[in-house]
Amino acid sequence: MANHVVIPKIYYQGTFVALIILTVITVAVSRIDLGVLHTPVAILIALIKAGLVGAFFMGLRWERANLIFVFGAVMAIVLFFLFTFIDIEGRGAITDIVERPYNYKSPVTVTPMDSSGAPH
Amino acid sequence: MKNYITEKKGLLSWLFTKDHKRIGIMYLFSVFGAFAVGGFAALLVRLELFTPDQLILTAKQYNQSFTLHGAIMVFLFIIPSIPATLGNFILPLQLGANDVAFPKLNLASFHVYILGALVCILSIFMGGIDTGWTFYTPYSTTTDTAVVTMVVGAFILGFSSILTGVNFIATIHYLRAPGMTWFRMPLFAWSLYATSIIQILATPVLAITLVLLILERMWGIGIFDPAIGGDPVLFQHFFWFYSHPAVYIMILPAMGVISELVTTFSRKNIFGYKAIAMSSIAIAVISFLVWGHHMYTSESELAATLFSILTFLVAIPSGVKIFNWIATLYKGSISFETPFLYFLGFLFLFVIGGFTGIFLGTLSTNIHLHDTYFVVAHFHYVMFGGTLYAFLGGLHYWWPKMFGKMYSEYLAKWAFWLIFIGFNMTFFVQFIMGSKGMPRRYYNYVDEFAIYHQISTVGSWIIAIGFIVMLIYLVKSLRSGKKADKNPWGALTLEWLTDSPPQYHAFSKTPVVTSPPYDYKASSHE
Amino acid sequence: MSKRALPHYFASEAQEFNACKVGMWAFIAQEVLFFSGLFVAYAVYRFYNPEMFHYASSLLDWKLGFINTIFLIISSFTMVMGVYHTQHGNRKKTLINLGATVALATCFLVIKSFEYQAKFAHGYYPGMYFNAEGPFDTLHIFFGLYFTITGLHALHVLIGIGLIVWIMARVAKNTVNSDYFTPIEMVGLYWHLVDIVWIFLFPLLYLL
Repeated sequence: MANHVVIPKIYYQGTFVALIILTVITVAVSRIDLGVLHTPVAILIALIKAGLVGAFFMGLRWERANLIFVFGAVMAIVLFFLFTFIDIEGRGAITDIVERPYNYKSPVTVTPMDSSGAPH
Repeated sequence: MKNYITEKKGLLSWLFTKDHKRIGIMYLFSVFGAFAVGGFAALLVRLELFTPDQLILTAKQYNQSFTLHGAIMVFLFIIPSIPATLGNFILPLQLGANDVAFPKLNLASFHVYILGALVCILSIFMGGIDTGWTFYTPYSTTTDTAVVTMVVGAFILGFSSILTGVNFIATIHYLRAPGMTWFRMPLFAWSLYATSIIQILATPVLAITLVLLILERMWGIGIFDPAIGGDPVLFQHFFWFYSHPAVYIMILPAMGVISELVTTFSRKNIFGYKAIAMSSIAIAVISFLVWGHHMYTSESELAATLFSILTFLVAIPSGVKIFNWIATLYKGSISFETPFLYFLGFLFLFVIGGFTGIFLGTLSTNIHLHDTYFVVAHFHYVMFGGTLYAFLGGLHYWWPKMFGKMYSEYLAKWAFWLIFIGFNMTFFVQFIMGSKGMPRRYYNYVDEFAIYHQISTVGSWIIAIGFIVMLIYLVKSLRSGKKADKNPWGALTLEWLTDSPPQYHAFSKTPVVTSPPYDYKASSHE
Repeated sequence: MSKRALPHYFASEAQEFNACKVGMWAFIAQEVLFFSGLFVAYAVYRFYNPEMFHYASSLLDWKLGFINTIFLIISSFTMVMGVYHTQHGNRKKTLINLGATVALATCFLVIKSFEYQAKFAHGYYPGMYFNAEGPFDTLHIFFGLYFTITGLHALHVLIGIGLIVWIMARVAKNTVNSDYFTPIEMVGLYWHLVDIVWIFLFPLLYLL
């Protein structure tokens, strides 16, 4: 197949090493107490990893035109999150509005948490 | 000479064909079958509403009928109507290609469609479904009707829609004839491109919504049912994230057909080509910003206000199209053949549908009109008066190309006027009764609404007669219609270069495009 | 080796390859949107019940999740190496790499099933079968989501295994080779997508 970009192996190997390192970092930072940054940092690392997979394994670095699909999908997801949360922020959980346990068929047997908060 | 119809013989050669033209024709017959079932359910609903009390259906049968009408018309008829029939047949020809990019996928999408349709029909025999086509929780997770079967059917149909979208995107990107740049592409192709974008970005959200609904109903995973800690309004967000863009899946291809009709029957280059093309893309983008206007009464005030503001944005690209079409008519050599009548019908009805959409998009008036017949009338003006009219216009326009036969203009005009008069009788009064407070989906109603309902029901019979007339002359055309020329309307797009009906390999020589698609001035100098 | 005939509606091999690539990316976009619904549901319920989610994620075994993440990353790497060797016409190395991908994916599913069994042993069944104690009356929501999300992801892994096995058969029959490697690239793209989804799921479910 002519005129097709064949990507040098070194890019794949580099990406692979980076992904492993970032996975270890993900676990490591989750053990540290970062306060409010806890979730954003985890998501940021995941985004970097996804970006690496997309750019090198999936070849987007060499085929920029297909980025339009990534862009479209990401924008749609951003809107999905944004508007849903604009509503939920202003409204609160349905279970907060109705008096609990209103008709609440909870399958969970509630037990008080022990002092450490650990599972029993 | 052999054409695509006579190329091979036998039922199997149709059912397992990879020819986009044959798949388009099979879709055409299938969606009309669905239309007949959905239309029959609508007639039942209208007949029941002839009197304020029970007439022919029980309350449950009534609920099942309007749900069946909604679900079948939306999922089995309108969504595949233009893209899968006219789009499949015409799009590759318009681009100067001999097939779509993935013919096997195209056939698979048809098979998936049939499978989904069968599952939907199965649900009728399993006790029907009475939730309305929106499947709102918590009713859909608690009612004893066959919700899961119908939802599985809709899920399968979603796949068919996604596969068509993927196919069209690849086709439009890479199968255009040499010399056909993006801005030399016919506007029908542009509208299908915009439609495909929505199909691949919105339909999967419907799929996951329906999966979650099925899991909620079967296992009670606690996502949508408030009785076990779920949030039913979240279901509405999920559902409308797809289903609002879905109404643009329905209307965008219609706008593409209308663009073709207006330029052909005015024999004049379309006014504002780029504006029309770009407004299709704009509508596709805006479609993702406005879904919350279906939820004004359930979402937070902040969200409702925001969605109301954003909803008005839709009016801009829609208005751009309407004005460009009208400007195209100016100083054109207009001839009033049947497809053009459908264009005029579309223009008239779609503008009414669009303007009433402004009332509904306005938060304060919406609270008054929410869930009344006003919404029903608005929706039918846009979907029936918009999409179905464009579909029928496109069908009459491309009929000679698809089957190589002409139809009776005389009967076609009769059918047009019957449907037009019947349609306005049926639905215009619904605006009035809605604004007076008649809620939608009610089985019984107070006596003072009786007269409106009776006018509406009689209108529905006139529509039915119109479609029967159409069926008669179309069948007659197939059996004994006058043979059609290659290009009976004098149109300029590439599909008219092929034979009527086209050969299996429609273009023996790949056409080379050197000018914009509707250059009537240049072609008259030749 | 017989030369493969180009389908009649394509003018060149480059056109065919590009069309397939664009179609595959469109399909990937729809897959991403499919999973986005699950992520939105996760975010909404985590927003409603932050303490419950924190407690519930500590019930999952992050070590198993970590091993599975590593497995999927390695399998993504062997996948690209499979594509690489196809492009360079090395059939044996292609098959070794694809075989490794299938093996790793299978390991992923096996570990996943052990995880499920461990959860079932504690009564953490999905939905109405949930039968466990806990300090939160909404605990079943987390596990409803957990089983739905990981179950749908596992279904995608299973489909991926099927596709890779199919590609291996085609490589073995030499209908996919350095002259025509479109199918293996497309399956590769799909497999990386499955990997990306898990890259997000691992921290969200196990670590936060």
